[in-house]
Amino acid sequence: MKEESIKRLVQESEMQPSPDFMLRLMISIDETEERAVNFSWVFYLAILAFIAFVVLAVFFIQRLNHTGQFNGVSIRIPPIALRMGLVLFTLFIGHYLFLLREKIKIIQRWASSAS
Amino acid sequence: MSEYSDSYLISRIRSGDKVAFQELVNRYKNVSFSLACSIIKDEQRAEDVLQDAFVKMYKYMPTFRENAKFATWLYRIVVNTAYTALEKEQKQRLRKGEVQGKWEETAEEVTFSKLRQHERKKYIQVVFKQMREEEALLLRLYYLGELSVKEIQEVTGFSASKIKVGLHRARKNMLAHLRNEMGDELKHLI
Repeated sequence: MKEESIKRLVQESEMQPSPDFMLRLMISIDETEERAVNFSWVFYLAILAFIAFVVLAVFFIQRLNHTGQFNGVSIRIPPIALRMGLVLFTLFIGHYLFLLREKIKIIQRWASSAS
Repeated sequence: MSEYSDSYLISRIRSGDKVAFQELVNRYKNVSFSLACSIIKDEQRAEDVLQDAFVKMYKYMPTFRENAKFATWLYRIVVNTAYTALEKEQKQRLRKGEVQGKWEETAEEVTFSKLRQHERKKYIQVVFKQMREEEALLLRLYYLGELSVKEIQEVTGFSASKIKVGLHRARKNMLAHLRNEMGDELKHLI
């Protein structure tokens, strides 16, 4: 049997949902939107965690510089290396925070415009 | 709105346009419903599965990547939702002590004698109900959804060789079922 005949047979097997399907679907969509949650708090929580982490890191580095040793081991880090490290670290985390904010913005925009 | 491309409709849906959503659903509902029916042999339950799948599609629309093919993405949601529902159903049956869900059970419910000769569409739909879900699904993805083997791989997670062998077997079985039930009438059908 030709491929075309099989294709035609399979195409004739196409089925249609009942006429009220769209109505039930839209009701279901409306219910889903009502349950949509605002979760921008995830972003603010991430920023807070980041700030707390940076404060702790700065405090620790200052202490390290002041004492000049860590657990009895003498450490001497050039101030320029410390500053560079902090800047790179901030950029690295900042990049991820930016991505997180963009994702949240897309979902928020979708959720708010849909409701 | 029917002349608009899928990507345009998707961008409209992302900005909250429900008419665009309805248009996209209208465009894909028949093929998606046929796919769901290939796995869930009961039309009423298949409709519930389809509804769940479209709600998921709406919910996860922000995560859809623009460079992906929309139909493949949607059919994957439909197939996954249908298989999850089927699994749940089979577990419930097992718990109740029934025989594990067999496609033969539902197929028996529909007898060809009930159908009139000229209802060819019905004949074919009944044959699809009698076929194994995997085979019916592959045939519909290939011929109805017009997906390539690679795209079917994305939708089902099957290997390329499994799909090719499955398609070959499905074609043979479909014809065998049709020949069994219709005899010489099959010649008029093809």
